[in-house]
Amino acid sequence: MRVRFFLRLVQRSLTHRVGKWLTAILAVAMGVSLVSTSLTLALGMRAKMSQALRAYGANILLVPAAGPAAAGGAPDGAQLFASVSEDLLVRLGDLSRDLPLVGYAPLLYAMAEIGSHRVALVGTWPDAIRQVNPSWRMEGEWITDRAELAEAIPGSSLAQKLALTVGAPLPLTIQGRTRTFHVVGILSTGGSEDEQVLVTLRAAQELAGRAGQLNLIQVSALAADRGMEAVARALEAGLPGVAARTQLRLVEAEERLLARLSLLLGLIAGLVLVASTLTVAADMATSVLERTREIGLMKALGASRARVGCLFLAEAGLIGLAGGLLGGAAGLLLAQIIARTAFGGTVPFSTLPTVASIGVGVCVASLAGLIPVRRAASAQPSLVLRGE
Amino acid sequence: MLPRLLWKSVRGRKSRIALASAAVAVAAALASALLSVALDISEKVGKELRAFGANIVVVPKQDALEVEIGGLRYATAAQAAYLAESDLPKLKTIFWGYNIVGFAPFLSAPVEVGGTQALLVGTWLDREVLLPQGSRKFTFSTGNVREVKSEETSFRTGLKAIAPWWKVEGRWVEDAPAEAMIGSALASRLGAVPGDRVSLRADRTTRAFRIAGIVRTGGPEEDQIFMDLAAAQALLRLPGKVDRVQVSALVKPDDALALRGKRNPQGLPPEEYERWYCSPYIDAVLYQIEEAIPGAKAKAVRQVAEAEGAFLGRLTLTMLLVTAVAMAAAGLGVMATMTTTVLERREEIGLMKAIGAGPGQIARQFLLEAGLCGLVGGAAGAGAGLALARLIGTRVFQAPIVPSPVTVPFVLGLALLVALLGAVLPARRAARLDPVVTLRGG
Repeated sequence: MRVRFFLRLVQRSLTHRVGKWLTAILAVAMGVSLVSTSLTLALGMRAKMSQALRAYGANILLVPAAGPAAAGGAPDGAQLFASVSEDLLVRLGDLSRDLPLVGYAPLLYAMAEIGSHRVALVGTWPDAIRQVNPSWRMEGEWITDRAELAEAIPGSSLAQKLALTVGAPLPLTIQGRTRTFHVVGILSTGGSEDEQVLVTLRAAQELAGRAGQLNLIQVSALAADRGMEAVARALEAGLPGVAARTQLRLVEAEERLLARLSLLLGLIAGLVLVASTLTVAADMATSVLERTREIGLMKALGASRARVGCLFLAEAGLIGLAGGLLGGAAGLLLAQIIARTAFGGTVPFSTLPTVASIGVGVCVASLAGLIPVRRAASAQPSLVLRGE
Repeated sequence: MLPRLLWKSVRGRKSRIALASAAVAVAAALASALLSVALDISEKVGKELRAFGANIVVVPKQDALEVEIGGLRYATAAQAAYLAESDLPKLKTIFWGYNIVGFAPFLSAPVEVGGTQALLVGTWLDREVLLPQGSRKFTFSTGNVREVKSEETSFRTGLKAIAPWWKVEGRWVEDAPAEAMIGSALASRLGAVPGDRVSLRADRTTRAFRIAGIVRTGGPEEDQIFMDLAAAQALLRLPGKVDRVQVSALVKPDDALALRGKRNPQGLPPEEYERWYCSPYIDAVLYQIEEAIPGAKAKAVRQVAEAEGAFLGRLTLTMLLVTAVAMAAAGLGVMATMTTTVLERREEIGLMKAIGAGPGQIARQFLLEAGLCGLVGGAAGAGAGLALARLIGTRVFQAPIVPSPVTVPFVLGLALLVALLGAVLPARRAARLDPVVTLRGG
């Protein structure tokens, strides 16, 4: 009986004051959506940023375990992987399914001659080297296929010195064997590649007479969860005879940067949480304050203080729940939009922002509503009704 | 009359006005803190990104081909061209000299060590460079003269500054002429440990060095030998010469003007050229380095430069979007609060109308009140926001966020606008109502 009366009171209040309820719910939702957005971003952006930082290029180099490449004075004395490259690459391909690898590119270096000039020749998989080094700039086209044998990409500085242009023939000689490539593009990296000639791995192996051999594998890996050293150790464990060198330059800088940015986003989320809590509290308090007369009337009609408190608490709780759900959902959506606009792709859904949104909605709204209710309820009904 | 009304209203409703102002202040604080962070984050993170390595390499202009494989260079001394070590301080005298945060010269050549060949690299490990004093004047064909003053008299730079990720087992070279550091891979091949002596042979000169430390970087440095530049110059008989300089510069991500200037800066119209020259784009910095150092060619390390630009762009966009969302939500929240505040005074509006106030008068009073809330709350909030941004900056980046001059006026304007908008709509509606109805409390 009592419960039914109580429910009727709440329901009446709902139907009679739809506009005010909606305003209150919207106000709560507004604050809560911010909490949900910033928390989702704080939790999910790390992986996104880590991915964006992969534009810096390979962060792990796989070299023969016995000693690094280029040990001797000439690249002809350079150390090669003991195993045949195909085996190694197949095994790496298997491993890459379980490890967070963005890409990997095998490289074979050889010294070649162009007329009377000596140049360094690099054989690689054109699609893979591009994936590992997304910021290299290409004028012209990339080599289309890993099996391509006649296309070459000289570095920009080399092309300038030898006056090579796209479409020009490029005869390369190694130990008396000459093959004429044609230039499909000119590569500019600002690094040593500017002075080298890039061809497919197969073309380099055939021309240098080193079928199935490799000097080096560039690997670009995400350190998201387990850390770069763990990825390097996993690669070494899976590939016998291979040493995985983590590039301290990239790994350390990335770790530091990501730690800072996570802290930044976390602080912003905290700031937003506090601000939203205050805003929601102020909104609720204001909307209860304007009902002081109603409270007075209820008391004058014989309602106990607890009764009045319960009614308002239930109302505020409902407003908080509705606002929390609405705002939480809107916040998730907003976070996805921001992540997609700025970094591409989505941020993962996690439970914390949702729980926090609903929590902020319900708790803050009820608590904030309760304080003015208590004040109103403890006042003299006659005074309140007179409008004092 | 109006000021008195306003004063009475404010005094009589202190707590309500305070509540509304507080709501405005919270929103304004959030907006100004986020805006400050968003506008400054590019510079702060840009500094952090410098830890990813030098973004500019300066080499001598030469026609000879350079053959480099895995960090080893094969060029014959007869063909090689060099830069003069004495020209290096000029790097800090270019227009954007202040943005050059570090540089290190290198001189390298293959040497024989323990029966194998390895690359010897001479460099500045940690060097104090004296800078030319006074202001520099840059004259443009538009007739403008821009003056750059530098307060720095000396500048500490070298390998330690531009390559902070190096791990040295043992210690860095201290006794410059007699010590060297050796890459970890080379050390394990030679079986060398810190404290050992190695003799290096270059052409006809042989000299013994004590190994101060073993270098680990994960890169080609692990196969090389490092020593002070002067020691390397003496061993290689190339006094005062360097063959490349790595430069770490703070640059601004490329925009439309940067792309127009990329190919041929001189082809830009004079005003645009001046603007291009005076913006810290990577190409402008390269151009200025080539102007300052004779016989030099400056190249951007694409990977570092582009990755940095792209990352900063994305990060700034994220922050701006978060700020926009926060401002929109906070603004709507303030509007809702103001609306509620006005709605609860419908009776008062009715009474005012009943005693003869026109809609204009009523609207004016409410607008003034709302404006007061917006102004007071906005000012307090904007100030608090700047303090918050400062706190975030020192906490995250160990340097305070520098507030942009637009932040405070923008946030204040926004707070005022939102408060007024939130108040004016319900006030107008209330003023149009029949006073009899409102007074009855309907």
